[in-house]
Amino acid sequence: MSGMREKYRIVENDWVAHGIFETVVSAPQIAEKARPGQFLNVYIPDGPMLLPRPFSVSDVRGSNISIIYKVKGGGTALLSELAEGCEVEALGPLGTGFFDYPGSLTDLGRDHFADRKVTVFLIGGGLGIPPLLYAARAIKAARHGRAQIVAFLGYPGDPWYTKQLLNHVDKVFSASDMPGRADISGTVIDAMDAKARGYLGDRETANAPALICGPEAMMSAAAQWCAGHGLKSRVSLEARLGCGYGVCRGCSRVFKSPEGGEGPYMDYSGTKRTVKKVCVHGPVFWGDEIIWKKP
Amino acid sequence: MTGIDLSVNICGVEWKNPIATASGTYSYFESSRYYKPDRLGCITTKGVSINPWNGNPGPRIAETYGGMLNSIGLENPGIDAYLSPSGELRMLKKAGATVMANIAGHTVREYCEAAEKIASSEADMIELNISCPNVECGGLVFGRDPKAAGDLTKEVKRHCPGKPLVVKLSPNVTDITTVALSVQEAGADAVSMINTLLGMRIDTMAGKPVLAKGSGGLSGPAIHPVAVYMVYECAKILDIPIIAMGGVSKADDALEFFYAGAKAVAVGTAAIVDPEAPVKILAELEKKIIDRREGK
Ligand SMILES: Cc1cc2nc3c(=O)[nH]c(=O)nc-3n(C[C@H](O)[C@H](O)[C@H](O)COP(=O)(O)OP(=O)(O)OC[C@H]3O[C@@H](n4cnc5c(N)ncnc54)[C@H](O)[C@@H]3O)c2cc1C
Ligand SMILES: Cc1cc2nc3c(=O)[nH]c(=O)nc-3n(C[C@H](O)[C@H](O)[C@H](O)COP(=O)(O)O)c2cc1C
Ligand code: FES
Repeated sequence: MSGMREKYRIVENDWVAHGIFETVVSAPQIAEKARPGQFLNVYIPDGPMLLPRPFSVSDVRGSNISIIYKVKGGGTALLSELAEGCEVEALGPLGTGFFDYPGSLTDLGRDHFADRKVTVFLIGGGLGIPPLLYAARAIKAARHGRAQIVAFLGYPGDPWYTKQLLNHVDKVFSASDMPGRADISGTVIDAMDAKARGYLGDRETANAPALICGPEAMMSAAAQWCAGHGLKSRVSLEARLGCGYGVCRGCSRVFKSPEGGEGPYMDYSGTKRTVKKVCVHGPVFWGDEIIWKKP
Repeated sequence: MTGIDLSVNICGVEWKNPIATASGTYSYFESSRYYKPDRLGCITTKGVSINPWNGNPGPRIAETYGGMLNSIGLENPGIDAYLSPSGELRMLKKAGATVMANIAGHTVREYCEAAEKIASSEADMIELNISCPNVECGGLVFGRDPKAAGDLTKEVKRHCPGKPLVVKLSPNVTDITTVALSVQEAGADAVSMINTLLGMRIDTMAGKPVLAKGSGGLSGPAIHPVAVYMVYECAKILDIPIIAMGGVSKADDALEFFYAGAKAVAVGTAAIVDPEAPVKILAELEKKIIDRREGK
């Protein structure tokens, strides 16, 4: 049986950056199971706002679980105003995360090269950055000193959260569209063009997929950059969810699928396609199975 | 378990209690992680059609005050996948559930072919969806017109004579009782009501609808009074049983339907919001009934 929808106590509710908040709940049952890239359904304590708000797990500290989010509409506004000690209902952890496949970076039991040193790229944009921290911690915990983690982060405006990340990654390159605010003026792709190549000489980089989380246009460009440089990628997609646990088909999306699968999809080039639910088969998918939306 | 007998007989099929899932809000592989399907009176499965359907582009979900809009468009893997040895129906029957298979189609012929396949399957009953607001042809085209609904029911019934046929009615009509009477006359063994109400939300920043399709179907607590009224009106004139749905999120909502004349109740949107909702509502209902018997 999975974790049920339960009440959890808020232990911290803090301002992180302009319009961005971190809510920490004491949730031992979730904390014990949550894997990087998974998410929680949070229910807003306001009757008419029925649907869950999905948030990625941005960190697990002991029995506490943290989410970091931007105030977008009524639900996130209300959540950000709840006092410490209040209760919110949540369901989770949900979904398939960054390392949920056999032989992943953290699955050393199946990794024949567990001793090798790997370089892992984290590529994040905006609110996609915090979930990468939890992923970085998991890699370091599994591989100890045998992983070098390099983060490329894109911001609209001033960078934030870079200090927290620096505790867990080896190198951070920030990019901002505002000149002079970050290491690089431009997009996260500009940052990778300028700085990532230096790390690509390391042969083991090719075996470690880059982890990507952010707005769709940025993720599409980043996944294509990786593919163009011989790197696989794990990408965390966003969708409008209904249930978040796989019953309503609100989140379905068409993917490439060499084996075929559910649905009648066959495109003109003969590539087989299939329907997957972002909430259970994802939100993290392989970069090369995604059919990117046209901006 | 409280040990009270809440079983009901719906046109010859024994349900162990009067609570079912509503079509499109239950999935064996995912819902079973939260409760076993044999705890409910009946599991209604997602609409299936002869061929797989892709559904509509996203966003397909929008929240509304006390409800939600969906424009899924009956995405489904097709009836053969549903009936396959590793498909949902086999899994549910293996788990001991009573199953109502919901079917959809674009044409009379597609509906009949689907009914024929279900007729020779393990499903306990068939629910004929003539009320989906989210598909271009089929669905509502039949559900809106008493004569078309009756003709379709008669035709489908000929293709599945051995299985109880439940016709699912749309609230998007001027007078639901005329459609209800028409399908009863055409041989429906029961009706289920209501499907979703047509609705739309507009994103005022973008100046266009939130749903990619534009309109969608409204469900959840917001539609409960509409459904109670329609069940009440139909119960006055029908001889066949009514399975009621629309906004049930607690036991009292179900009781309202029973007083309005329904024989059983299905839970939809509440299960989207809490996976355990159907079994929680059942437990609460049992407790309420015991408390009343004991005069509490
Ligand atoms: C798997 C997943 C993980 C996410 N993780 C994060 C995160 O870590 N940090 C963060 O800031 N945001 C995250 N989001 C987006 C976040 O869920 C929305 O910003 C939030 O639901 C908005 O709620 P609201 O009530 O403020 O907005 P409103 O617009 O008032 O919400 C109305 C409805 O639309 C839905 N909705 C609105 N915007 C989005 C959106 N962008 N994506 C999905 N549903 C939306 C809401 O859930 C709600 O049902 C994630 C989304 C998904 C799908
Ligand atoms: C996401 C979603 C999918 C649905 N899919 C179907 C379907 O495939 N077939 C059908 O007959 N009704 C479908 N319905 C309608 C429900 O079965 C039910 O009639 C309606 O939602 C009202 O009940 P509720 O308020 O409890 O949700 C769907 C409803 C929702 C919310
Ligand atoms: S959100 Fe309901 S199936 Fe994915």
